Amino acid sequence: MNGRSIEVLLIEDSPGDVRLTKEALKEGKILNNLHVVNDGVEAMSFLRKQGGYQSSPAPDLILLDLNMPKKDGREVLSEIKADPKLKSIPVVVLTTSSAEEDILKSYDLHANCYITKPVDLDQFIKVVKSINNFWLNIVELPPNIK
Amino acid sequence: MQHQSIEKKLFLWILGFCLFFGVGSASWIIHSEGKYRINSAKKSLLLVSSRYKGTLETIIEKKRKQGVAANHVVLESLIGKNNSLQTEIRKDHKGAFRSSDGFSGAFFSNLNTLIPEQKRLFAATENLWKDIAPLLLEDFYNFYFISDQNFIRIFPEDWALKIEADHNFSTDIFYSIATPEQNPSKKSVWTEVYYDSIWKKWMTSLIVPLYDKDHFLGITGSDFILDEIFSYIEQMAKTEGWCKGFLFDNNGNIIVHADYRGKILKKQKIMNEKLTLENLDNEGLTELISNFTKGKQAFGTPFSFYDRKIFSYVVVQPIKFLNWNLGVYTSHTSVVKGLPSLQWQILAASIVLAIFLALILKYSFNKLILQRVNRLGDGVSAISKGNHDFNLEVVGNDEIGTLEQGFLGMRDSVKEKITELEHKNEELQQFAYVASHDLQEPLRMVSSYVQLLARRYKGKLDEDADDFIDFAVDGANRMHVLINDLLTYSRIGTKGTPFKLISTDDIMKEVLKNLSVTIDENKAEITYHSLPSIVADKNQFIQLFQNLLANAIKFKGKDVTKITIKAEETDEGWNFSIKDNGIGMDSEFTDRIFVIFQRLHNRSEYPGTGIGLAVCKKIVERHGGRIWVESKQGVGSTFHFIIPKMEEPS
Repeated sequence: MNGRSIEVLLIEDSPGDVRLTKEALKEGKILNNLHVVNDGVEAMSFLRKQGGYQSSPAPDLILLDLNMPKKDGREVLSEIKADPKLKSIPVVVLTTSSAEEDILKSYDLHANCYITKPVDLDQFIKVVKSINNFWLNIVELPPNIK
Repeated sequence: MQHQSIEKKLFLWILGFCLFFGVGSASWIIHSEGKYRINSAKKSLLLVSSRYKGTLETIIEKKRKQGVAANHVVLESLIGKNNSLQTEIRKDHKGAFRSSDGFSGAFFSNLNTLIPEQKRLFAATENLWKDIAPLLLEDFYNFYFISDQNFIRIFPEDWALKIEADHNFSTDIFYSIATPEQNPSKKSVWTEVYYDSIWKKWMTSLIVPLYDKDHFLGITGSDFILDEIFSYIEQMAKTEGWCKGFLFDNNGNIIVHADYRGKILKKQKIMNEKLTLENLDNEGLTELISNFTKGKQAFGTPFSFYDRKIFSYVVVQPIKFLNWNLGVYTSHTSVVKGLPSLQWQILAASIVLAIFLALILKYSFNKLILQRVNRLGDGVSAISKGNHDFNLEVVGNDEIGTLEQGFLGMRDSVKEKITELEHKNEELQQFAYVASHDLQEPLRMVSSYVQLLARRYKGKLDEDADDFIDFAVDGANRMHVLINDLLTYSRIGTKGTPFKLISTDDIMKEVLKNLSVTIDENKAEITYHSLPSIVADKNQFIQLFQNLLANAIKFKGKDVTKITIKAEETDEGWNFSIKDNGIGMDSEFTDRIFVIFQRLHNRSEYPGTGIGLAVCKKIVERHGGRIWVESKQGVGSTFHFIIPKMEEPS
């Protein structure tokens, strides 16, 4: 870690899940800046620094839910990966779906990894910790993001 | 191929029918043709015999008339006429007087001297014979006059010169027959056939008595040689070709028969001997003649007899003036000649016709019906295989046309129903899938937050709160398992992999590996014998075997768990059986256990949601098979499932 705070964007419509993710981070004693947007349209505004997000930071990691109103996760994923400025940001699909077609579709759209949210809270905390640990501590990300 | 067999059957049936009728009509034609020929042969026999009888009668009548006319001439010439004798009368040493003018000859037997009247006879007859003999020569073989004084004038002269000196004509058949005693009617008579040793021939003679008023002077006669009649009868056989004639007299003597000519004519007999049947070796003909002479058979009616064992038809008619009868006959074989070959020809023709007809009928049946039926059959099998777009052209509005229309109607409604069903099924599966999938979301929420509650506040609230949280967590966990099971279950139909050839032996190995911990923990003994390769979904089969084996271990009995897996080939397909010595079950539950979420035991005794066997059933049914259990409480269960054999998809 180079002391700079880690920016994580959580794209999730369910307040319960947002809270749960926050709680999990808290339980896992992970400190980083968690930004939350509630749908795909907002997510794209955030990433492109449009609307009310002119001053928002470029995220180091995106946690993406698939099923959302307005613009769903698949569209968001496809737009991110089609955007030269955004495509190098790792996107972790974090969803309740374990459907095969969702998994395939996500990897087709160049998701960096696909994780089904565990029902068990302990498991969920472990997963969130792992994501942080893997993507933000173990993996070397492209320098332009940092 | 069912339709080919109908075609063949039809062909054979028609062929059989045609042959039956062909052969039947052939034999009928032959039969009636035979009948017709026999009838016309009989008619022809009657016709021919009448014709020849007529001709024969004409000849005889002509001869008779001529003989009678000559007789008158002789009478007129002999009475009171004086002629001078041109030739010399010689007397031989035995006392017979003979004369000859080189044309006719005369003879008087055993006289010492000739009185003038006798000399006059020599002279008168010599002159007369000179005049009439050349005229008679055309129709008569000879012509003679025999006086009651033992005198004869005859031409040709031979006999008069050769005759025995003491010959007495009164015993000769050609004289005695016409004497007043023998022939009071004074009319002309014909002799029976007799042998003439002078001419060495069999003959019959026309004898006319010579009367001067009522005074019998002698006879005039002419011989009729049998050869002539033979020629006549033979001529008939030659002209007609198909029939033979024969003559016999009323005494039952055969006179003429083409086949007996040699036998009759070559006989060396003595003078005046009558012709008899002694050498006739034809029983049929003998019997026939005997029947006629005894009056047992009517003249003029055709009837059948055996001519030397040959079945023949004959018509017999009497000849006028003579006591003769003319028979004309022909053999049955000559009547029906050519019929057997005609029979074969008709038979062959009817066979050819039968085959031809059968082929035509087969072709038209094939064209009119079978092809369309086959097309319909293809349609039905296409629909049964799920191809609902099969189309066929409705040809005409005949019975099959109605069937075709009916088929199309059925196809459309089946298509509609299937589409509807598929749609509903899809909806249902989608529903089950989506429901279970979407249920996960709020469940996870409930579960996570209850767990969070437990994590943060356990022991910080009162005891009741801890219990409540525990129940809530347990409920959420169970619901999670249920939803997962439901997902698994609904995925069998929607998320299967394509079928391919797999070895169930390998599947067993994999299952045993998956279950190794459980097997070891329970010390289960599992045996299986060379299991077959089948076409199936591999993952689902692993699941199927694994569920059944896990069940068998889970519901173990008191003894060491023994599980046997077998497969037997049956008509339906491969019959797999998994036999255990577990707790078994009452027979009333054997159906219920395959229903989803149905359990026979309390969760605390045996954990589980009751999904395993429902999944097994769904997998087996997806493979077109069926599953059932045979069980006895406390003894064990045997699970069977049959998987039909399938072609490996290419």
